[in-house]
Amino acid sequence: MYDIKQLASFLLDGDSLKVWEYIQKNKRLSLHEIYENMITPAMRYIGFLWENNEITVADEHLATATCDFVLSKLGYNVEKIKLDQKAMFLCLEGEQHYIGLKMVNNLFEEHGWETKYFGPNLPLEYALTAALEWKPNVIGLSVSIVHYLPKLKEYIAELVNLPHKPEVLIGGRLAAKYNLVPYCTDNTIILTDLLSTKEWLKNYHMGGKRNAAL
Amino acid sequence: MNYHLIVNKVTEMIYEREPSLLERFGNKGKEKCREDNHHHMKQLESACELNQSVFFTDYAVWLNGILTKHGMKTEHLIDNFKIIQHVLLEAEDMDKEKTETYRLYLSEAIAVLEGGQVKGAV
Repeated sequence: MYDIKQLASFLLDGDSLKVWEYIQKNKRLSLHEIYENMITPAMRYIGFLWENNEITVADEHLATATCDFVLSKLGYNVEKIKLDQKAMFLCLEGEQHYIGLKMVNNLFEEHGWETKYFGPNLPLEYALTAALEWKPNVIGLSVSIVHYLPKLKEYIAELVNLPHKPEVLIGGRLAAKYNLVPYCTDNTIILTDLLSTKEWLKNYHMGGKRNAAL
Repeated sequence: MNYHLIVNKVTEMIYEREPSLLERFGNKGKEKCREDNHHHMKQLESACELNQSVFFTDYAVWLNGILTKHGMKTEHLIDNFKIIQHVLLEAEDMDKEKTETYRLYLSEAIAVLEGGQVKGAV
């Protein structure tokens, strides 16, 4: 398998070149496999190191910035077959954990979707304005910290009621850890991880839609 | 809600009960203690709003893991939670039902930190 600690140490050094070379050694991997089997475990390991007082907040920020750059580079290189589908992605107001959301955005792009990636901390009023104007088929929301979860209900209620009736997807650390169904509407899709996102995309393209959490 | 008064009272009580903390960690440590207690109150508020105590007990377990790596003891966090429970009893500007829910969630977190079973989790 992959040397996750090695990859994590490149990220912690802020050495995007070494991270890139490490990923390129495994050229046959799909984007999903790189995210699921390399980047996600490396970033989780970095979180573990912080929790264990082995690295500082500054180290963790440098690793996140480096990871962000590498994700942009990975997304830029993807060959895309354009479909007539649009998706926008954002983190709830206050939420700063955006790496997972960025990976999901890249997966959608890889599957031919036109996307707008709004990143962390987007207040609802601006999300609504952007969605009203651009009319995406799908709006993906991410929430990782419990403190921001009470806002989720309000975001979903407002977004599903937009005139063009977009589909709302929910992801992030909390979607994997807790049952978020009580905070969603009946037609909200909960995606618990990258694999369920990939499956949802495949299913969507085949014409079906289902809740990946059920 | 602004928890400024509650947090200040809790912090003062912690340092009154254990004056050695000021010698060990200085004023910076006291400020961190205040920050931590703001986080505790925010977590209680979110868990209460979501009507799920597990959000607070999970936070307590996660935080305890971090604090113990920084040289603190589980008893410190348990004592901190007990002091919040005590101060909440005197918080006249807070809704009584909410105060009771916070106190219940704190009890559940204390039980988990002590290695006991979670009682009455919603």
